[in-house]
Amino acid sequence: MKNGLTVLMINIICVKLFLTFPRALVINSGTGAWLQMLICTAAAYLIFFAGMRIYRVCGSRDMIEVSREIGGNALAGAVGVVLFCALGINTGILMRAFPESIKMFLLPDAEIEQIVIIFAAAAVFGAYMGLNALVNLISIIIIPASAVIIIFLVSLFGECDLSNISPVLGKGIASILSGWSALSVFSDIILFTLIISEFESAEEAEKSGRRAIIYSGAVAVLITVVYTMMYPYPMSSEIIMPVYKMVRSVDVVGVFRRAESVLAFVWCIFTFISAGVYVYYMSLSLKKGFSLRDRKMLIIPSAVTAASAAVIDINIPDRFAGGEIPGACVFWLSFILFVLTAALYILKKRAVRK
Amino acid sequence: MDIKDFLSPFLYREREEKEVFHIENIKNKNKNPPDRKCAVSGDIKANMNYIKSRFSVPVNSDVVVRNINAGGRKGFIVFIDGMADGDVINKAIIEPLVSMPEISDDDDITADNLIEKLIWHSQAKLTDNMQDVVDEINFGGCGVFIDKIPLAVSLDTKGWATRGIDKPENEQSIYGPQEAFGEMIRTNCSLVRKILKNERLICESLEVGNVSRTTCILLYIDDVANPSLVNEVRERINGIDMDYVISVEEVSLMIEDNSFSLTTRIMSTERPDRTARALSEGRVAVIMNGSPKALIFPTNAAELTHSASDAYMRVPYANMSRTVRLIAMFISVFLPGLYLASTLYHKELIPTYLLYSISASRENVPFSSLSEMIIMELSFEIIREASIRVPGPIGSTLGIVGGLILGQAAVDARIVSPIMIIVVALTGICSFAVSDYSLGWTNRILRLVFIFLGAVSGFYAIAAGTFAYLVYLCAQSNFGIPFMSPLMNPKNSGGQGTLFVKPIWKKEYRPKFLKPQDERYEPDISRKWKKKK
Repeated sequence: MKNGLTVLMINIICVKLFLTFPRALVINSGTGAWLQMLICTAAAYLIFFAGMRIYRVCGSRDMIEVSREIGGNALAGAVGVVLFCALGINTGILMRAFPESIKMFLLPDAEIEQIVIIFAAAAVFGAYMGLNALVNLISIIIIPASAVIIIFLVSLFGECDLSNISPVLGKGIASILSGWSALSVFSDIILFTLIISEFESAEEAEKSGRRAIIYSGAVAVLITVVYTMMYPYPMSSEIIMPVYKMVRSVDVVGVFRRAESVLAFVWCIFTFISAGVYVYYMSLSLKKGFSLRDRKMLIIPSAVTAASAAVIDINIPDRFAGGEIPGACVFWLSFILFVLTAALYILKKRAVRK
Repeated sequence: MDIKDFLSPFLYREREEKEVFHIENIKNKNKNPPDRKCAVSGDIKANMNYIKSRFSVPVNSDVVVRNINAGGRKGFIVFIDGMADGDVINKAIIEPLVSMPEISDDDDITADNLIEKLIWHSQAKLTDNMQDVVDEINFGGCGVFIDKIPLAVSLDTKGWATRGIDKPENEQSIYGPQEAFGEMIRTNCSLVRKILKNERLICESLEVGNVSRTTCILLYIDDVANPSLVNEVRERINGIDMDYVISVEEVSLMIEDNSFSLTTRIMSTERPDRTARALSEGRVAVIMNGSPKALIFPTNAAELTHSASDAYMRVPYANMSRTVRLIAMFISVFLPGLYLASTLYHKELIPTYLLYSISASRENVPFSSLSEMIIMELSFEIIREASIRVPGPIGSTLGIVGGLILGQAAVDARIVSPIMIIVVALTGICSFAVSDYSLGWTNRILRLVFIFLGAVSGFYAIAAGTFAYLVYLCAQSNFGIPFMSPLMNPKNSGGQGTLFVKPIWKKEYRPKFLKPQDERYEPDISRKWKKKK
């Protein structure tokens, strides 16, 4: 189970890599995008490592249980709602960005709402089946699906030109170091505050989280490197869907020239799994926060909430990126919230001892 | 002659017709159920009356009650003609009883003496309960009653006509044994026993059906199978509360976890060798009288794709066979949906010249691709169903008529396009490559679902459907074991491998998910001839 949860976290972090991810890095750092990603991965690892060291005092209990011990049902409820909202925002962004990508390269003539509804239905079904089923599924498909992705990446090596990656530092060290927005790739670590209760001990949970960050960071760096080598700067900053553009270049044996549909098939399944996990934990955060009896009744309302946010007549990802929706509410929550909880727990313990 | 007599043919006469029959409503009309706890009496007349009333003699014409004189004492035997073996009854029961010396009232003759000295039959039981005798008679046995002895003798004298041991019809294999189960339960047990030859192989007898009291045998190897698994299977079978249970398929329907699940979770086989192999791995099997199949518990998703011949072929051949079957299964489920998705939504995936020929072939077809697909799939399913029920000589002709002539005629009439015929035919052929019949049904239903999904939103909807079905399978369990367990942990799959066949000398452990009492199947080196001397 613990290996399955690690793979699940890697999946959740990596599905976002197939959206506009490398483009944002290239815009910020030029050909030094891969270095920016490497530094952000290291930073995410260090923050998580330090945070989990502090959180160890709480054992393998999730944040809501710890909050209940600190401040009773009121605080647990409040934390449950905060997590619900944070997860809901992430889910809403996924429910908008992913269908928009699908519409762009798979179903250009379809209505966005139709795609969102199918996406929401799949997420609801996955959440209904439960975490065990999702973990089992990811354990089964990770190897063949990873093989497909690796084959795609390897088949792109012929298109790479090493000279495109110079200058190695791109726009300079200052640009690289100022590009903290790449840390948002790891904002799904917020799920860890709830997944932690599935582990037997805090040490296991910490190991799993660190592995998830390292592997997903490695994938992100690899994709960035290949992208930077394939397309010279500044052309690489103009491509809307970088990974899609990359896979369109794949030419397998001269027959399957447009094999991006195969990759899209694999990516869709991975994204449905992620969405299922998000909706599952949205319902679970409310259930635990308010000590409710049943989680399954909360699944559809959670999914509807997220889907409604996704289909309202504004472009949430752009608003989010533009800072109109406070970026701190999810991005920083992911890294700070469990540290804050642990700190409050320690203070409470000291107060009780006194 | 009276004028009325003359006119009578022309006059109206009320018809003397019987009223239209309606089945009468009856509630608990049988207010005198038989006394199932009645004891055998020492009075021969009381026993005779009881037997005649239970078996409705003489109305029930095949029940034979034969009076005998055993050593000067009155007695009778009762059996059902056609179910009992007349020769055994004549030679082993009637002959020795009738030729008994005179019994005086002073002699201490008991039923024990009868069995030990006079009845020449290997399976004779004493009982003081009438119900035991009735059950034995109903199952082809014979009951013997002697005056002044308050016990009856029930003897197993089954002799009804049965099929011999045939070749398997649905699980054919070039290699390996060519025997299949029949309808006789003891014969089936013996087929398994002669393979395993182990006194730890337990054939536990159970009865299912309150009225039919059909014998069911639970097979397991006592020192291998997990006792909790055996207990669970036993509990489920004992928990079947039905009057009549005719076949082992009904048992499987009654004990499965979810009756509405798309995928079966109980494997059934007609091969004793497959049953024996499953038992040696720590599984439990159930066979039933009158059914030529065995149920095997528990099973999982990977094993439903395995074939009996995989165990007998060399590794490269077996893996090739399994790979071909898996590809065939994939094609039978996904090809029609993917075809629709790519022609409707993802034309860029199809090579240009193929796209031209598809467009050209569909030029004058009035129906949409989805309608064409539905028409062809339904036609294929109808032909398949019809060919099962058509009498033997016409069956193959129907296949030729349906496949070639109707298909060709449909293309010439421009009802469907030629490419659609190819897609549906290939799908149909691939569906026959699936080794498990129930899995074939699952694939047929899934195919229809994916056809609709492909027509709705192309690859995206097919991916959503695939995700939903896979996650559903991952959530299922079978006797507490996750249905997809070997796919999650291929190392723990044991002997038969998950997707690929392992060499026979590499099958060191039994499947871990079965939690057998003895995990070891083979030593590390099972080919001792390979060791240096």
